[in-house]
Amino acid sequence: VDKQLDLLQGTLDMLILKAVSLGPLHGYGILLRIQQISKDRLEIQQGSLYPALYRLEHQGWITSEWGESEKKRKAKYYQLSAAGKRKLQTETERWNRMADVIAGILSTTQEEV
Amino acid sequence: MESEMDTELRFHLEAYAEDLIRSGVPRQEAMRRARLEFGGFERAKEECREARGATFMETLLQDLRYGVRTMLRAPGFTAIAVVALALGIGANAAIFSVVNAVLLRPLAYKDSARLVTILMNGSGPVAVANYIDWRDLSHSFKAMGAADYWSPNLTGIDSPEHIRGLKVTQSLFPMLGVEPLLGRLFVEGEDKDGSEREVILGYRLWQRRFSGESTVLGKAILLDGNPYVVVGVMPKEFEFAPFWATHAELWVPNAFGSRVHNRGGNSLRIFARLNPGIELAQARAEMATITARSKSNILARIAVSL
Repeated sequence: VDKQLDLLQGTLDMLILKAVSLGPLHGYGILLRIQQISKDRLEIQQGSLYPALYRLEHQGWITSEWGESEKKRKAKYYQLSAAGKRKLQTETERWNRMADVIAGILSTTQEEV
Repeated sequence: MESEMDTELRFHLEAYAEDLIRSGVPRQEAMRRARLEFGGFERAKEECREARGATFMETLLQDLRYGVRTMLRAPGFTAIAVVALALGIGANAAIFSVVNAVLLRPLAYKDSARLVTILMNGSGPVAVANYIDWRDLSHSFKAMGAADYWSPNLTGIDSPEHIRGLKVTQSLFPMLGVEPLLGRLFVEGEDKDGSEREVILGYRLWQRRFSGESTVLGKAILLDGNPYVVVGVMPKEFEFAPFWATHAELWVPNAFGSRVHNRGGNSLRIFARLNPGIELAQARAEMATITARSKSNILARIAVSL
C-alpha cells in the first residue's frame, strides 16, 4: 500500500547531499540513487528535484560541471563541495539527535512521566 | 543559463523515457509518461530560477520584456514606465520584487502613484497561499487585492460570445478608488466561497451587448453556463487591469476555495496601495521578509511507500 507522506524540505536536501557524497551524478542519476539506496521505498517527485539542486548549488554545498553521460550525451553532473561535506555531517547528526528525541517521547510510558 | 537549464531538464526526461522504453514501454507512451511523472515542466523551471537566485539583470530583463509587451498591447497609453526593483534575500536567495507601474497618463484610479503590483520573482504571478500571507502579515499597504484571468462564454442573450474578464477580490475596486457608472461595486462577503454570483460589466460590453440600457442592473446572464446577476457597470474611461489583462470587460468575485493552501499553481496578480508615508523600498524589504518566512514552510513533495 502506498502512503503519501510530506517530508520537510530539508529532508530532500539531506538525501541529495548523501547521494552525491557517494560520487558525482547527474540529476536523473541522483533520483535513481536515492531510490536505489532507499530500496525503492522513497520516490521523489521528479520535478521537485531540480529546484532543490539549484538551491543547494547556490548555497555552495554542491558544485556542477557539464560532462558526458553513459550514452555520450551532454549532462550536468553534481558533486559535493567541502562545505557540503561538513553540512551533510552536521545535518546527519542533527537528524539523528532529533530522531532520538522523538523516539524517546513516543516510547515514554505512564510511569516515566 | 536558461538554455542550460532546458538542456538539463530535457536530458532528465529523455533518460527516464529511455529507461521506460528499455522496460518495454512503447516509445511515444514513454515520453508521455516521463513528462507526466516529472510534473509541471515550466513550473520546475520557474522554481529553479527562484532557487538559484536569479540575478538582478535577469529579473530586470524579464521585467523590461514585459514592459515592452505591455506597451504594444495597450497602445492607448502614451507611455508606461516600469520601475523594477529586485532584492535578493540572504542565503535562501529568493528574489522578490515589487514593480511600480507609473502610468504617465494616469488611469481612472485614485492617486495611482501609490498603487503597486507585487510579483513573484520579479515577473511572475503569485500562489493563493502567498497572497494571503502577504495580505495578512504586511503592514506596508493600506489595502491589497488580487485578480485571476478568466474568459467565460457569455450565453443566454442572443448570440454567445467569448468575453475576457477577471475574477477579483472584493477589496480590489475600493482600493483603486473607483466608482461605478451604474449600480454598485462588490460588497463584503461576495467573494466568499459559493456566493460569487455577481458580475460588473465594462462600458464597452454594456454598450455592445446590452444597448447601454440601465435596465441591465439586476438582470441574470449566463457565464460558462452559470447564472450571474449584473450589479454594476463601470465608467467608459475605466480599465482594469492596467497591464497584463488590459482587455477585460467584466469582473466577477474571486473565491479561493481550496486554493487557500496552494503555494504552487501561481495565477494571481496582486495589486496594493501603499500606506501613507511608506516608501517602495520599505514595502519591498517587508515583503522579502514575509516571503522568506513562508518559504521555510514549504514542503518538498516526496512520496514514501511504507
